[in-house]
Amino acid sequence: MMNLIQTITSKASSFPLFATSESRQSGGLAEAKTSAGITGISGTPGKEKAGKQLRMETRDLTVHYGSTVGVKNVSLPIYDNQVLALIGPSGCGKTTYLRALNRMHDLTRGASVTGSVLLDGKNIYDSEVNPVIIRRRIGMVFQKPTPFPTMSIYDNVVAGLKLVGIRNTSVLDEVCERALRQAALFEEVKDRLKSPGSSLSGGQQQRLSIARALAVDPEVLLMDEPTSSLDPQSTSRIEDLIHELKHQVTIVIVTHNMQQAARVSDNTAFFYVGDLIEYGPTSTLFTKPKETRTEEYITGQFG
Amino acid sequence: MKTLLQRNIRDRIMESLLVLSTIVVLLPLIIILVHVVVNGISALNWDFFTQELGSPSRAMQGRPTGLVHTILGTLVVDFLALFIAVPIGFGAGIMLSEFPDHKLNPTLRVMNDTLNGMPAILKGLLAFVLIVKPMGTFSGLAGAVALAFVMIPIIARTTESALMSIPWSIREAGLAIGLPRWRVVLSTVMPAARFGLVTGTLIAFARAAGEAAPLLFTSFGNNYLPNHWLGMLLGPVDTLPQRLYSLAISPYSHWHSMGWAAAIVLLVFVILCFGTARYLTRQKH
Amino acid sequence: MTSDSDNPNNSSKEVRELLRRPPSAIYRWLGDRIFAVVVVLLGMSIIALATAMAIVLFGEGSLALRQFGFWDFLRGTTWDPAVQLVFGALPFLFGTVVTSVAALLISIFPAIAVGIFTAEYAPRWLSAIIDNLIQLIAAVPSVVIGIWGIFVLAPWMRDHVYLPIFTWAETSYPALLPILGNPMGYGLATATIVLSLMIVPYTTALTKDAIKSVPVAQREASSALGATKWEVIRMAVLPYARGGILAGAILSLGRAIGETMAVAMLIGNKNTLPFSIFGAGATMPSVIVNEFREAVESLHLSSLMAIGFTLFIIALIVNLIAAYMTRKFSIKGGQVI
Repeated sequence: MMNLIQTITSKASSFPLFATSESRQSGGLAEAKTSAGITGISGTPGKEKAGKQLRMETRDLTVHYGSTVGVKNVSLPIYDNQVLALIGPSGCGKTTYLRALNRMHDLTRGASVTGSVLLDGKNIYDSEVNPVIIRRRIGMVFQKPTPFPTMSIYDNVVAGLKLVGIRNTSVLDEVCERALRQAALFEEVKDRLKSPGSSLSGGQQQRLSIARALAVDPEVLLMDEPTSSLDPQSTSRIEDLIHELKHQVTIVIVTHNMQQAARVSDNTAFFYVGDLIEYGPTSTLFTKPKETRTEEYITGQFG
Repeated sequence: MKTLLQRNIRDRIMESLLVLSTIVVLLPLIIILVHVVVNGISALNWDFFTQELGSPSRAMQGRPTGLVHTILGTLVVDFLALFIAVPIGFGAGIMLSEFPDHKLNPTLRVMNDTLNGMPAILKGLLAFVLIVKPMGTFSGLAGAVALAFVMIPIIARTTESALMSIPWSIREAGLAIGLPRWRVVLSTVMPAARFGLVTGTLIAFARAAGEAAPLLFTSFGNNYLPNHWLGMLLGPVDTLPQRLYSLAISPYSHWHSMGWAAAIVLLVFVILCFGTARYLTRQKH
Repeated sequence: MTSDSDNPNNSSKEVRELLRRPPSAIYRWLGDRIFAVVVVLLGMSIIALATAMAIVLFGEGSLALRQFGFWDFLRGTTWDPAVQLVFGALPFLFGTVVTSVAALLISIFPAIAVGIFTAEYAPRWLSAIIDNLIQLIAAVPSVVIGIWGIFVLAPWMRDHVYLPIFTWAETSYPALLPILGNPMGYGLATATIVLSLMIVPYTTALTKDAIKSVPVAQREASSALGATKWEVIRMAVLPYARGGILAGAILSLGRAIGETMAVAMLIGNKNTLPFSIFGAGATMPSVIVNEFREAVESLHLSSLMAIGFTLFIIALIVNLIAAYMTRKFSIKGGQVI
């Protein structure tokens, strides 16, 4: 069992620090650089030279659906330019928590949110805060790719600009190219930007969704199991993307796949039945979990 | 316990009865369609589409008569009705599907179904009281309002189900990139539901276009083309179903054959709308 | 790290500033506020419309209802707009109930049979054709069926059905003659026959939907017992689909009650009881169509409105029952074009 954990953690730490983009292209699941990975474990989560900078924070965040509790009293820091992974068995509240971070629950029937979600020190649930502005600063990518069905690839990407009145084509062109490059999709679609977004493959559609979220230049990107409906190759492309993107945006990713959490994240939070059980640097959480439930989960005894 | 043979014979008998019933139901339809075409085709000439009806004597003297004023009047009244009904129907459909928690929704749904189930003639009476009485005259406008009352509940209902069929994830994706709800609905959800919306509108349009009862006391009918197009809206105007009724119950045989011809035109018009609607429904899947 | 201006992954400064600028009020809160208000107003206008229909019909009919009293108006057998100016709705109430119920009784079994045949027996292509034709019945405008009834059906029925029966009764059972009535072709019988054709699509559509919602396991259980196809339908499918079929029948009844033009053109228009089978009669919608345009006396107009109000109440009750049934048996669809 220990073997498995080492493999996982080695992959996790190897990518951001040592893997070149070529080796990642050749296979995101490569088992190389184990020894190098182990040295990586000793590092603290905040690897940036400037040290950890708090971008978001939740304090005692509780979400109710009617009378049932989705998550209760979750306090978590979210650091700038780092990837936070939320893991746990299904129904544990990780998605509920994620959706509270950009006020997606505003539209859910009977959902109520208490506690606070701070973005740069300001509670996004304050009455004077406009959810539209918040969602422009905190983007979201969903489980299933959701290209707008009637729009071209181009229109999909710039939807967040065009549909709020930005009509300047040079700006739109620039943003479209930048976002598609960020999402590593530009080269594949640059010759058919006018064809419908739904004509792309599943993996491409998901990267299109990411490009669309990035087009409005968000500071934080929330990803709700972004690879769960994709094939392994598309999954590894998205994971590569996350490594690139974290230099520009802060990422929170929900995943049911522990290896994925280990591979892509700097910090990990483990949820169980609506509670935050444990939070820590990914390497520590996967090798030396403090809680027995965390250990049971990551060693595959349940979930 | 019956023998297997008896049971199998019974099975065959029941199947034959079902086939027979189907034939009995469909045969009259075929007979009606054949009669309409056979009786009406001869009167469906150039005059029919270019001349006014005029007084009964005009037909008896053998002067050319037709229903051009009826066809124009029908187009004006039907499209004006559509123009009135679409915003209200779409609005109500959007309210039901996009604001699912609104307190008035259960009431709206019941009221809409009630309105939908009401005989069209009562919609004519309502339009008579609301429009004809205050205006002091029968008018194309009143007819359009009466037909809009027929269309509105159908459009509202089909709009609701067309919008509901669009996955909620599309709306969330729109909101997640910082779009306001109205933009999400108008620019992502409604375009995605366009087939359903057009289908529902067409069905409502076709259903209203075939109605004569609401028009009898609203647009009333007119044997001549109004002098001015405004006369179509502000004065009595002819429409196909109502004219067909008047021709059929008139004592003049020349008018009877014109009535059959009007039946062909009306039938083709209505079937075209329904056919397109059904074709679109099939395209969607 | 984010300041590299030559990095293609970063926006130019101007674009970045443009993106950071909050969008105008219309895209933040104002637009949503306006949108919600407009949509809710449009939705409420439907509520207002349905309410207005009840209020207007009652208000316009109140003169007659006050003069005669509601129950006496319903029970009144005299409808005389010319001489006495006395108005009672019973003939039309009777005509509506008799024609609708009779039409339902005539059409229900064939309509259900078509539903069963298309859902269970017919191959897909044939089922699609029959389906389209059944929907076509609902699509044919009432006046088109009316003109066919006037010039084709009524004369044919008179010559080949009513007259032979009448002459047979004349010689064999003269006592039947008052019940049969004058066989002129335009009357209750012809109107009922046409009505029964027109309401078939509603029963058929709901029957088909109800049959489709029967769980496969339900069928397989009886098939496994070696039942013949009809026995499966009889024992497993129909009992399960009963509620939906009933809802369809009630919906059809509602349509029959409100059906106006074809009935007005074929029923012969006689305002006084007693009605007879072949003889002329009238229904609530038909009397409104026939007299409203010529009504001059305000009491006559008001009485017609009061008939409209009564029709409203009856249609409301029937529709509410049908809606309750479809909801209770959770029938999906049931929509006739």
